Amino acid sequence: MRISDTLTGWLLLLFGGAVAAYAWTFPPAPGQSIGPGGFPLLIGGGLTIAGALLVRAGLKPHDATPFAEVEGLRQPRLALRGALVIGALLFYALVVETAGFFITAFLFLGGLFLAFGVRLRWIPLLAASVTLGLHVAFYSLLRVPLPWGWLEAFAW
Amino acid sequence: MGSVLEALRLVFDPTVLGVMVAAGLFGLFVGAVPGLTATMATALLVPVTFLMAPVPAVACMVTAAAMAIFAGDIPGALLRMPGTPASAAYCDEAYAMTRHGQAERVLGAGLVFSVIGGLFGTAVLVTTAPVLADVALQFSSFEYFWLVLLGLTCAVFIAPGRPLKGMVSLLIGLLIATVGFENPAAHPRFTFGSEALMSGLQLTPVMIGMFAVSEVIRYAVSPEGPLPVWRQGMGQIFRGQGTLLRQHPLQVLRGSMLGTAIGALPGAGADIAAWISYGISKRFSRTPEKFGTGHVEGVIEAGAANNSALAAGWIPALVFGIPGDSITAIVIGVLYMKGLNPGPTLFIDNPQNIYAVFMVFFLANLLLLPLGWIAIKMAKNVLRVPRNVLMPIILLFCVVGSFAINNSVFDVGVMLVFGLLAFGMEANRFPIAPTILGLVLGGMLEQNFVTSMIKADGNVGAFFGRPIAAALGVATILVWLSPMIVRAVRRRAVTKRSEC
Repeated sequence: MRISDTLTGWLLLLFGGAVAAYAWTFPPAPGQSIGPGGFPLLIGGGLTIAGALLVRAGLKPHDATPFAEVEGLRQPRLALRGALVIGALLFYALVVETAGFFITAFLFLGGLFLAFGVRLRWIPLLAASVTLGLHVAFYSLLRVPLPWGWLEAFAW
Repeated sequence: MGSVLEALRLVFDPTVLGVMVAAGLFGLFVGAVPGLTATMATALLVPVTFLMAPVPAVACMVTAAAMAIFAGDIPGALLRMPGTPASAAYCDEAYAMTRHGQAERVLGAGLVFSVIGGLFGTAVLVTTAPVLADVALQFSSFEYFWLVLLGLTCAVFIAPGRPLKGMVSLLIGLLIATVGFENPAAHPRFTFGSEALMSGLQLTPVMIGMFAVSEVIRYAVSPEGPLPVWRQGMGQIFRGQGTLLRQHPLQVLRGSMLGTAIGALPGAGADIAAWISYGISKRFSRTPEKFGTGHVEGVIEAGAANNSALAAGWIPALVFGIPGDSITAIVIGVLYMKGLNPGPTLFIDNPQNIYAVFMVFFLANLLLLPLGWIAIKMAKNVLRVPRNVLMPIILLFCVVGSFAINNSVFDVGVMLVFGLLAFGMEANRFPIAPTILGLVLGGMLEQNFVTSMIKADGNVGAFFGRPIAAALGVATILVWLSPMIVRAVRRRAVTKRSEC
């Protein structure tokens, strides 16, 4: 997704202003000339100035960039693939504690292989072997407590 | 002497050597696959190094990065698809040589002169770092404040693209670094009541998100053509390299020196070194007309430059704790996690670890010869790995790696958010490196700023009160003013020309 400098500038201007305004509410540090809000205030101010400069640059007549352009509108299949990557990550984060690593990772990989055009007959074998391989590497070798979820009874 | 022996014991441990070989093979693979970068290889290794002692952890990352930078030459030369940005400068030249039937010669040159460049950069690191550390011991918060600011300034103004966009990227990094209560006043900032944000955002999921997840998203939304295939085997790789060295000693030396100088600058890394070096090689060549037609001269110089830049990036990283590029920024994050805070005191408190890091650099560069040879020989197979299989595996690796740091699903969410942020930033030509440098150095910048303000009792003039601080301050301000100075000089030149 591409956004014009003008729109990015306005967004940064508002965001920088919000950061500075929020930093203003931080209490002062007793006995010090600069409190916890000082540094974020400078950053917020900097973002606001950078936003204003971007708006000014974007308003020049030679800038013919549209306000915002989403490539996916022209190629919906690719936009769908991008959304699937994000969806797969959300699916993993929401489901892994309940269903456990094995089931979640298998479905996560299977779904993405399918979306990326891997041949159907290879998907179960590939997804299962990669899931097992990563489990051995992280759970058995690096001692990361990957959740077992529904397969708790089979935990080793 | 005792420290050197202790360092030898630390490095020549079977575990460390095994880790280096494994990381080397991993780095070669990642570097050789187009679209996967050396920075991504390093970011993906962070969770793997989590349970390692500091020396094998550093060995793992240094080896992987050195191998990945070289391996980027392989798809560049064979398929005209640079494996890493550092190989892009001479990709067309190398591909032209391949079309003339010289694939072995150009890849052999890339390998041999990468090793020479890497060893040169390491030699400079070993000789200058301890001397600089002695100087740095005299530094107070004023010098450190300016040094960090100068480093961040260079990251904004040296990075490719518009400085204004680099500035925005840096401010975003600095803002992320303020999250949590780890600040001089210990006040929780931007936590919005979330307990998970109290100790700030974890560096690892942020880095994995910005350097790996963003690449997977980019792959997903990019139209994919059929992958070009390289079917031929490889002949004698090292034949004729001695002759090349005898014919081009000046180019090797110039490339290594320039790469070292650029690598040591904060914010500029191997890719910028390769571009500038290739340009200089052409500018001073006796046969500039041959460049672009399959001429090895530029490949030699730029190949030496990118690997020497990688080693030299460690000079500011180890001495001042200021990373030279994204790769060292990631490793510095790991060093902090392991309680091995970089800076001049590291040379006094843990000299054995510093010597061990130096030895690791030499070993990693020497290891590049046999492992690089294997990688070139196996290029046919590595380049055939389908990316539609690889990308979901990398994404799952990212997820598990981010989870591994705190065993928390929250970090997986952090990874996703920063993956999307980096994807959006790159799509709109905002560089990523300043954000990472801002994130790593934000705490240090604020700490030194606040300490200096307290010492100076609010008097800003005190920031220029000590000679080194004043010099660093003036240098920083000059870099800030450089675009205006350049513009004014250009305007004057145009006015003069029109008057004539």
